[in-house]
Amino acid sequence: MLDAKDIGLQNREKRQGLSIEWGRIGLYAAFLIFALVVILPIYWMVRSSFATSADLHTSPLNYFPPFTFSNFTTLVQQVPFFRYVLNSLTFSITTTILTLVASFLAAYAFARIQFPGSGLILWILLLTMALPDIGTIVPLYRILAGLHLLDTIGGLTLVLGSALTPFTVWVLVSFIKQVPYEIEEAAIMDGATLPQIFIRILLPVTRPGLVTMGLINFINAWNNLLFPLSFAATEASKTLSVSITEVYNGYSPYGKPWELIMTIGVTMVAPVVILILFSQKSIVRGLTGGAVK
Amino acid sequence: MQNVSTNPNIAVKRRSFLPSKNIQRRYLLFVILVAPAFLLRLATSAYPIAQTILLSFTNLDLLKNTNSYIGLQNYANMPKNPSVTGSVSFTIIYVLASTVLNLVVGMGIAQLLNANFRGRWFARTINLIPWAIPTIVAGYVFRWLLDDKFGLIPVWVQAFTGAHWIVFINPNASRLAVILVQVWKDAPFMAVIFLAGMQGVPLDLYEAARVDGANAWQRFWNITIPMIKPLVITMGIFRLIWSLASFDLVYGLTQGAPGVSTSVLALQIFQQGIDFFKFGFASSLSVVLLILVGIVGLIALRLYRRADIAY
Amino acid sequence: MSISRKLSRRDFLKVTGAGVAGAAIAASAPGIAAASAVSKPFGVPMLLQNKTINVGILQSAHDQMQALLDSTGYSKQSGIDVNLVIRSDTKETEFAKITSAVQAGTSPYDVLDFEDELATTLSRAGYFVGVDDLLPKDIWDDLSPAMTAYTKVWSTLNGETFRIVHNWEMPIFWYRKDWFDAKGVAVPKTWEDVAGMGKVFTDSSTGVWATEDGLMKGAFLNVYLAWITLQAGGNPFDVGDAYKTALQYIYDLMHSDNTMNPASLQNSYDQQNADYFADKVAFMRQWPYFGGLARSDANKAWWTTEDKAAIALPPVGPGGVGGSTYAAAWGWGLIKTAPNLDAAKEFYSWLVSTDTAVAASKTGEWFFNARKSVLAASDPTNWLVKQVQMYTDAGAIGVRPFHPQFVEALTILEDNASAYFTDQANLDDTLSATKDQLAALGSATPEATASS
Repeated sequence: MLDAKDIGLQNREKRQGLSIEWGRIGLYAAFLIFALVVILPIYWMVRSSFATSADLHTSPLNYFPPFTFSNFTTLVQQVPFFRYVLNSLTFSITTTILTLVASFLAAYAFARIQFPGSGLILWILLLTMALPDIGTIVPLYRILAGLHLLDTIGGLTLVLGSALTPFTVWVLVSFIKQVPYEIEEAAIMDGATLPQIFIRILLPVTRPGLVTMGLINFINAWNNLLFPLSFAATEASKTLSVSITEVYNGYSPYGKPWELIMTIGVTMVAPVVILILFSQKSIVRGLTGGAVK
Repeated sequence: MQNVSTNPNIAVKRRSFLPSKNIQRRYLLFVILVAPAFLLRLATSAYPIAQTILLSFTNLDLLKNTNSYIGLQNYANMPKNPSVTGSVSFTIIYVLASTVLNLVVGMGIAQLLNANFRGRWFARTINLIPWAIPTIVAGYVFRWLLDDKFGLIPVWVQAFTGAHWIVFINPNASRLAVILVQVWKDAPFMAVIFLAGMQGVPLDLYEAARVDGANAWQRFWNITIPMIKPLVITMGIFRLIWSLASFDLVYGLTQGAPGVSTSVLALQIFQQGIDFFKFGFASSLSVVLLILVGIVGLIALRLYRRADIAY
Repeated sequence: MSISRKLSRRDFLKVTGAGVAGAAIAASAPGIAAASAVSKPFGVPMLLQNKTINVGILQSAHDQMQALLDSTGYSKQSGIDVNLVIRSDTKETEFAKITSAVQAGTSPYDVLDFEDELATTLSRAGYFVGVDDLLPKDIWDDLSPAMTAYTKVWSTLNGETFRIVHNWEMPIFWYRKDWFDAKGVAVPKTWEDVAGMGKVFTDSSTGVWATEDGLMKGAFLNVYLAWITLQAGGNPFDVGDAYKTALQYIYDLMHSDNTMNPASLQNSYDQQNADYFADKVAFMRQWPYFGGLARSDANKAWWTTEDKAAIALPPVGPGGVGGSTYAAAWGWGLIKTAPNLDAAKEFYSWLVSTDTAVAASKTGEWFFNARKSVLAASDPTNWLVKQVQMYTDAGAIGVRPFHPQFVEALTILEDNASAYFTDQANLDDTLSATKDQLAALGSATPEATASS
């Protein structure tokens, strides 16, 4: 309810003694509450992952328990932790690459080759986003089994890459459309081939868009649970998201090993948080790129 | 694109891959470029959905080794099965409640992020955190946060009010928890979209309204809302559809407990399909989900049509 | 002989493979030897020699198994080399692995150590060889009556035995003898006694409850349901009068008798145990590993006297003493497509013989069970030996309630019972819903009724 001009206006009014500053207080109060609500779960997760189980089960609560790395070493000993990290990384990277390649080609086509009905085709592609992933896992299970792609990173990549493609196409279309066609036109007249156009001209110019969608897709793949959970059977392709459910459903004499669960949580969250810290603007541009022109 | 080929004085040595004259080659190029994306979608989305519909009429069960056509038997079994009826009813409640809350809270956060104050960059950055966290991790973190003995929230509630909250043995409390955690997770994403929309609203409109004597709330209600209404509707529809498919959160937070009070369709589908290998029944549940998605889609069409008429 | 109670390396039994919401870990007795997850897909490549066999065991059982082979010098005596292959502790992984191998006419193991859940699925898929002719003649005398009854239900298909178990873990009745002595109250012996304990012990000002359990969904609740229904004289999967009585009894314990802490409904075993160690529980049902936990370093300060976690026979319900508790177990089976079936058969005969059983029990708890020979050769002062002896002598061990589609069936039980306990459904609706859903699963087997 307050934009830049409002504040300026209120300051003016204040100088004229016409209004109270409560709006400002309310604003900072809202900011504080918002920050608390967002950060509190993160703090809780971090606290639980660097404390021993005994320190977590104290009454009254210990808000800053003694710091320890023991949970990480326990995890490494008890589950193929590094393998899971590697799988998550591999899965995220390959999915991102596949999605970007398929989406970029399609986006170029939709942006540059227009004919009656091309808009409808794009719309149909986007419509497939509405199909729930959960509704496809049964046939996909059989398809992947038939192709011997069950329990492989490759199989997972195909499935998730496909799921992420429509949104990526949508965003990339608007990015490509922002590139003035004259540049390509000039290159065509100089005799460039299509691949050369892609590599020499489009890629550099649309790089912000590609980076953005790369980040978003990497995060989506890193976080994805349903597909690895359904299609991975051994450590050959299980990811961190699967491992956290295993640890949760697993069992120790101390029961739910919250300290270990939170440790995997931290491992999953830390890279992503670092990513968004450095690329917040870029990600926002991508997320809104499709919805807001 | 200029047609240079008509001027014989210009030596044209271009490969005609975007020929203005040769429509067929344009179509061919189009097909080649969109083929990877479309093949992927066909293989992993369109074809499987069709398969799901077909499988829903069978009793395919990997463990029992059955695979025969049984018509509508799967569907007939559903109303008698409390797990299914409970899941469907909570799915609908959950989808509606969380979407409405998401829109409202998202709007509120967007307002906050739009205001001018020191630390706004920080607010906008941490705003992305709930979006970026894996949903399953959010589910587990809140399960731990709400632990009745050692979770932060019940401990604070007990300290301030003396009430001992045991969330996960109470069906309604658990449902509320699921809905609120969903809002925590997704309202920030809404906020980002709404913020972008709000930034596109010309400031003179606000100025003019202020001059006319409108207060902050009136300006919000009469300018901001109408201007971003299409966006709100769009995000509302998306949110409805996405939450219909929601699985990770319930899987992590409550696993459908207590009883099946917080079970959603996606959870049932997963359990029947991947845990029990009852592929036929799981497929029929998926079809029910698809029908729900279709209903939302129809509502969307009607809303869009009405919005178009208004604007 | 002393059984080593090494609990220092607390690995946890991971029960989810490709996602199992209703993992039956609690039902399969987490036990004293829980396992970690490092599984090599197909182990060591099989040598061309005929006289090497692969035995699939849990990671945590490796050392004990190796000790058994070394102490008996088996390989030298028989000429058969035993290669220990670590199997996954996740049944889905094993199921998938074995299925694909058997289809291809081979098997990653000749002999496998497996749990009850795999027993039902793998046996019904036809993967096991009947082992009756490999068993020593005296084995049926050596197995305790409870073990024999259990074997007939859980380890037999179409009249053929396919598994002989090597451990024997049951829910134990633990109680605070120090509290009972202080109050001059006798240990509850019947259901009525238990219900009356609420008045004696439950105190809202101190947060103490007479009893508590781990009743959350996900194979925890099902353990207690099975336990109580067995005490009521029936099999929960039959959804008969015994189950109805059991549900009503549990509900009353929580809602009218004020005896059981209703928060149990969201507990897994950690909260239950933690509350016991926090002196908030007077008595409870818990698996044997709790005894080791109580004696472990983590609880050294608390474990001042044995009376803090004393063992008594479980309370007797309408079903009589014979169904006071039940045992779950892991055991050995022969896979029909084993690459070295003959050598494996020889090994199997040796493995289940009385002498070997005794030697194995000396290596640790994973091979300790209620066979007469084993009990006779065990240290009678050891708490676990005493417990198994006590329960066996009293004939308190019934057959674990059985259903051929065990994992799915227990989920149905849990969903409905949990709704009843949280007042979302009344008893009759719960029962009829459970019955309908179980019927939709397919047959309940004749064996199921034999166990009631």
